Amino acid sequence: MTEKLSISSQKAEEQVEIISLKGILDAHSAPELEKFLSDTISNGTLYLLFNLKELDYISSAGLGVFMAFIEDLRNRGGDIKFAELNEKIYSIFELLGFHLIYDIVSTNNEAVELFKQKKLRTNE
Amino acid sequence: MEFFKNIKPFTIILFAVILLLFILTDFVFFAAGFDYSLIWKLIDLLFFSGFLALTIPSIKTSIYSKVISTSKFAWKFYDNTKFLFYLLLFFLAYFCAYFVINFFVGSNYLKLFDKEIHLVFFIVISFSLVISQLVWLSNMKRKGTKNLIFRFLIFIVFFTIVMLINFFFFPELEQYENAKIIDTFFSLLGVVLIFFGFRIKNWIAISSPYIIKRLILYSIFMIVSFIIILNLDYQTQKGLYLSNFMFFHLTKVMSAIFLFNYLRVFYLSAISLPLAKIVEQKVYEVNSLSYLTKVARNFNKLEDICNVITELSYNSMNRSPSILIFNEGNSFEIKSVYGFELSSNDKEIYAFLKNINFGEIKTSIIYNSLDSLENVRFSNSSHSLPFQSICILPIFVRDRLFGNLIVGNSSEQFFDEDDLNLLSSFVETLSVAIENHFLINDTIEKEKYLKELRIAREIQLSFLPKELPKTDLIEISSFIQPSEEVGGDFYDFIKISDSRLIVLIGDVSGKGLGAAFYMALLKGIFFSLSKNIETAKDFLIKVNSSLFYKIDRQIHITITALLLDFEKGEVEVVRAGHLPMLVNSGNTTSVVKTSGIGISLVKTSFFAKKLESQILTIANGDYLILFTDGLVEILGRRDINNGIEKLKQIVQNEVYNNPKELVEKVIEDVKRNGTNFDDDATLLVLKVKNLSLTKVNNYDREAINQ
Repeated sequence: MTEKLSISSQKAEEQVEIISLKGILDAHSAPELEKFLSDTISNGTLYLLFNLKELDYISSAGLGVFMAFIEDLRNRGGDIKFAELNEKIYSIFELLGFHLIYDIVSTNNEAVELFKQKKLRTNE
Repeated sequence: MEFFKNIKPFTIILFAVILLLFILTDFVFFAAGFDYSLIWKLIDLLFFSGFLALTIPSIKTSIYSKVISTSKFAWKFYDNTKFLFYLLLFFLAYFCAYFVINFFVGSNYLKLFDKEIHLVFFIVISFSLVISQLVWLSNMKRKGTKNLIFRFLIFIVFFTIVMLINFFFFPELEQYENAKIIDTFFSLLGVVLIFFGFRIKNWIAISSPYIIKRLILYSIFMIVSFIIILNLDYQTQKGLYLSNFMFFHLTKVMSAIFLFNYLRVFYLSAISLPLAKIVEQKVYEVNSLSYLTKVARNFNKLEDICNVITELSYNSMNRSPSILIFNEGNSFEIKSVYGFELSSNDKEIYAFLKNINFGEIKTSIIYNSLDSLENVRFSNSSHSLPFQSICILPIFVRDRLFGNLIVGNSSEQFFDEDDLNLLSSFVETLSVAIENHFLINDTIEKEKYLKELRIAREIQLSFLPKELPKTDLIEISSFIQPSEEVGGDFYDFIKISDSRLIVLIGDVSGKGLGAAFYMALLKGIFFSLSKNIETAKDFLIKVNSSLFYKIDRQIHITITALLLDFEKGEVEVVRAGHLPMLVNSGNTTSVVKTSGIGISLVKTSFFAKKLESQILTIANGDYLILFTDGLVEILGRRDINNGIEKLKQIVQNEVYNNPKELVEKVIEDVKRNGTNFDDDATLLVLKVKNLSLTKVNNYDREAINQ
């Protein structure tokens, strides 16, 4: 288990960013992600996909980070989705009720496809 | 002109006496028609004047500083203006005397005494030599040559005694015999002084170039003077040779010894001079660094240390003007300058600095010609500044560019690597000092913050029920382990009626003081809702609608609410994003995991839609175990699922008779896993007992699920 959180991101589409998280997302690493997200969003990104394949642990404070942005993004027509959650992470999502708030998909492509559709709808 | 202010009455009197003496001597010489050619006379005068110009002040110094106790080098009292002043004064005095005597006297009726008068001259020189040597010796004292001084003093005393005996007791004795005795003593003295001479190199080598230059000059004059003295011999009018007088011998022997010593001094000084400049520079560098370290350790304002840095840079870089700036984004602020007036150069300096792109300078760098700058842009106007070469040193504090030190010099190719190293060490000290400065401020800030945290913590803990509800129907035990910082765990009980009790456990997560504040808010909401509770689900929905859109999105509140109905023997469980609860009934422990979203995350309609309520039947002896994530994170070593599993095992396998014992069992395990809590850890255990009333069978679930 790595002690730190590492964040890498990749632009999949205009306004769509795939962010891969690796390591531990807890109260200590949450501010790092928070800063990263506010930077990303201020660059015009509306659709965020988090790939959590390599995330080892997430705490409620870590989940709180997403909550800080979801409202704002959704108001502007954007969204946050999660992909490739492992069993452990999913169970935490489930315990805290987050699976009810966010779309959880199995692959990156699926999410990007959903984002595209949503974008089309918004643009119409 | 500073020098003339410092002349004391003593100096003037001394001058007057010496001048008078020389005027008298020359008056006698020239009146006697002593036939010097003018040019030789002048050369002679020049050297004697120089000799006296060098010895007289040391005599003066020795008298001022109580002769032996002086601890400073006599040469330190010299400076160029002082030396030239003495030299010119004596020379002019001689020259004037020459003309005055020729003009007024012109005859040779004093010729009779000329050689005898010359003796007076030698006496003066002898004494000045002895005294200057005494001064020298006294200066040597601190160099650890006490024995030598002692021996030397014995010689002086002995010599004086012999001289006095000769004068007063054997006036008829041939002077030449006396001279022989004195010669012997002074030869011995010479040996001592020669030995002594070997020691001088130690201090010459480490003296400053300034003193060494003085020494070279001094020794040249001394050497020439002594050569002249050694070659003199006169026959008096009475037919006696000067060499028959002991004063003459004293002078000659002393002169020979001194000549040797001064040759040594000259040689050593001349070879030490180039080295001395380097040594002096290094000594200055070491001193300035240690001084800087001292200042850096203890300063009140950043400005103070900035001023020290520019001053040291100026002095150690051979008077190169220094500027210290603090950067702030793309702009800068001049903090300190040294070596020029800022006000008169304002515009030029700002124009010069604005053209440097400080952000691009990552390491200390030398530009030995302003034309050769590559990654620094200068406008042409910058050349009106007297800088032809500059050093730019970035000051990094916590890996961030904090400022720059700029040292400029008016000549090209001025700075070298050594200069850069020294300036770098200044800058490093400065950056450490700045960092310490901030650390101290941070510590003070942190102290304040921690104090506030403690207060918040106290407030927060005061929201917990002072005592657990006392009832025959249920037995409760709780445990809360507050974390170092403000956590947000809470539990509460609301008694609706004698047979209905709401049990709440929750966690307000968020940074700092916020959690405590929201807990107060929650407590108020619970209180206001407590009057009218139908179901636990309804209760939480109301809580959500009270808080939704009203709280910081960073704050995350989770609550599990139980509505215990002892009449019906049922418990309603609703979970708003909080961890599941454990129920131990009989021998089986189960996890009750209903679905639900945390408080205030989503609109109340959506919240209500997703909030699942579950009715469990309870029996006597059943345990309901509620907890927060802090607790299971410790038990599961950061893994919540493991923690829940672990807790389940304890509940299932351990032996306990009441909630209190179960809590203790869990605490044992918690303590085993560590005592450093990141988050609050809370455990609430309820045991149902004395359920005597019959359950209502036709319980309307739909009513609750609405």
